[in-house]
Amino acid sequence: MQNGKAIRVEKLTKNFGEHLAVQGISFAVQQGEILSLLGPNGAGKSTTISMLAGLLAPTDGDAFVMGHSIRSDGAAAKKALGVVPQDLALYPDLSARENLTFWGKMYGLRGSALKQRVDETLQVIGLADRQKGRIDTFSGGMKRRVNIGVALLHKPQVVIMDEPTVGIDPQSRRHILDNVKDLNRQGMTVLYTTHYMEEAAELSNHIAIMDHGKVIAFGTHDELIKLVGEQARLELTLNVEANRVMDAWQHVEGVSRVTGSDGKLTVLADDSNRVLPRLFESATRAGGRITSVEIHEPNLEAVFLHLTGRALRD
Amino acid sequence: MKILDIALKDLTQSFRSTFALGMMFAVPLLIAGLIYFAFGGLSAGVGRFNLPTLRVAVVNLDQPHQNLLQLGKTIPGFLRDPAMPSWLQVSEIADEASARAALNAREIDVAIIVPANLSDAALSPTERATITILHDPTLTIGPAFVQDVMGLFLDGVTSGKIALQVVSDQMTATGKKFEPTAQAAMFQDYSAWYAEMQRNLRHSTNPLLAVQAPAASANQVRRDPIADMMGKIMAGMMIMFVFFTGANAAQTILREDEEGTLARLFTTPTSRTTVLAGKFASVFVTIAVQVIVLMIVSALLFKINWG
Ligand SMILES: Nc1ncnc2c1ncn2[C@@H]1O[C@H](COP(=O)(O)OP(=O)(O)OP(=O)(O)O)[C@@H](O)[C@H]1O
Ligand SMILES: [Mg+2]
Repeated sequence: MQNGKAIRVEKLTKNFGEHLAVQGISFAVQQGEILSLLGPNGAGKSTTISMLAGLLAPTDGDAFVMGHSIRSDGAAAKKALGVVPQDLALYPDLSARENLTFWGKMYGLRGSALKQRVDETLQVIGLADRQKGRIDTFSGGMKRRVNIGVALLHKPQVVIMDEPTVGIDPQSRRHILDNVKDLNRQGMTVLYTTHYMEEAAELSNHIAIMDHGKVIAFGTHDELIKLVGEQARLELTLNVEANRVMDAWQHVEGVSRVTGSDGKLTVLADDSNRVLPRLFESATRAGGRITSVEIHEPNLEAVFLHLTGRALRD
Repeated sequence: MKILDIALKDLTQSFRSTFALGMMFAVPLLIAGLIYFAFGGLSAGVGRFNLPTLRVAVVNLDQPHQNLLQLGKTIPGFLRDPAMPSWLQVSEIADEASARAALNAREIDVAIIVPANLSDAALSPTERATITILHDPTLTIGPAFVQDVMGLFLDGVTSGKIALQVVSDQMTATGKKFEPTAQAAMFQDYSAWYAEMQRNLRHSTNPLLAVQAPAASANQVRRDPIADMMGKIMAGMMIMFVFFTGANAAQTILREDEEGTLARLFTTPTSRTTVLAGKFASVFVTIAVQVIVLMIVSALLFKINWG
């Protein structure tokens, strides 16, 4: 089986007339991993996913789901795939259970197997006690969970989720992220699309950063962070003049650079956890007091900024 | 069968939608119901175009002419003749004041005041008598009918008078005396003949004037005109609202497109043909259910015979 690759994308291209939405991207999702497609609005994430799901015909290139070409063997590719669309795609006037049952049938499930899968899925998305409620009476987070549940019914080998946590409460988001991790632990391969770098950082084995229809960086979280250097940036405020501690801090173990004036200092350090106690100690010795600390750990935001010169979020 | 699953899902949705149900069943029945009541479908003889009963009172003030002729007394009998319509209800009241009071109290609809000199006038070449018809001002058809009938009666009286005059002139010319008893007898004979002729005009086995209302079809004995009309209205209503249902079902495809469920259907291993066939199946079943329900309900409500 395709050297353990659940999804293989090869020079996939989609043009909307003049607009080059996806420009010949290539990447692979290993079986059993979570890969995040991270990118700002309009990067081409949904377009890529629509092609993988068989909703859009690629202008050029091809992709393989569990070895089945989306161009020449779409039906087999669809069977192996569960798709969670970015926008809710449910029947608002049917109940959660009715929705799951209907979609289960569309994936070819029948009879007691269908009933069992609907029950299991309701458990997974945490809505077993609300299964009889109509979708249009649900909160945004509950709707999102049903939206995800639909894609899990037929136990697909690969699940693609397109921004499943957009616009919901923190509790539902937590539930969804935990679901994704649980499913992955049970062996499901996940292609996860987001423009929240925290989600990509928390979930993924690999991250592909997309911008303007291209994959501009690919790697594990740590590999990507290395692109901007691994150091944390500490912003501190003192109740004494900065130069009273500057010299001392330059020589604190783990600190690579100190800049600043008046009572404000910026410290670049390898590990804020180790460095900060030493800075407090040093400040006490100099007769000063640290009145505020801000820690900026290296993150994907910084990587994106570094690669594009723009912020990930507008 | 995915086709059936899709159809079933659509049916569940449309039978759960108050709006769709309303447009499918309630609105056509409501419109037909309004028309039904507007045409008096609720009146007593359900399904019959009946004129309401017309209560006619005769106030007979006529004095007998030398005990020979009592024309006024024949009027109630004339109105009660079997040839008269069944909805004519005839009574007699002693004087005009009570008749007016009964009219005001709506106990009667029409009062016929027969003057005291009616019989005298009938036998006198010069005297004139006036029959007065009083009626409830809200009524039109009933009083007009009474007026026509009384006109018929007076025609008889007048032509009797002419006949009497002619005979009298002839007898005077030949020098014979025309006795009052003979006059009265002749007038009585004449009026009997006249009444007979009027009756025969329409109602004998060999009528002079045959008025027929041919039935629409030979085997439809005693067709109910309102039911007939309602049948046509209901049929039209059904065609119109079946189209509405069809359009509504076609719209579910558009709705699914907007809600993203159509796209999602295509991410499952379900072909476009299957989805479309499922939609058509649901349209077909919905329309069939709608037509059957409308036919049964309207047959029960409006007594339509769908044949
Ligand atoms: N059907 C279409 N016709 C024309 N242009 C389209 C179409 N679909 C997407 N695009 C364009 O392609 C580009 C990529 O869109 P896409 O939806 O893939 O972005 P995205 O990365 O999913 O963004 P978001 O985070 O906002 O969902 C956008 O500029 C969009 O306007
Ligand atoms: Mg998108």
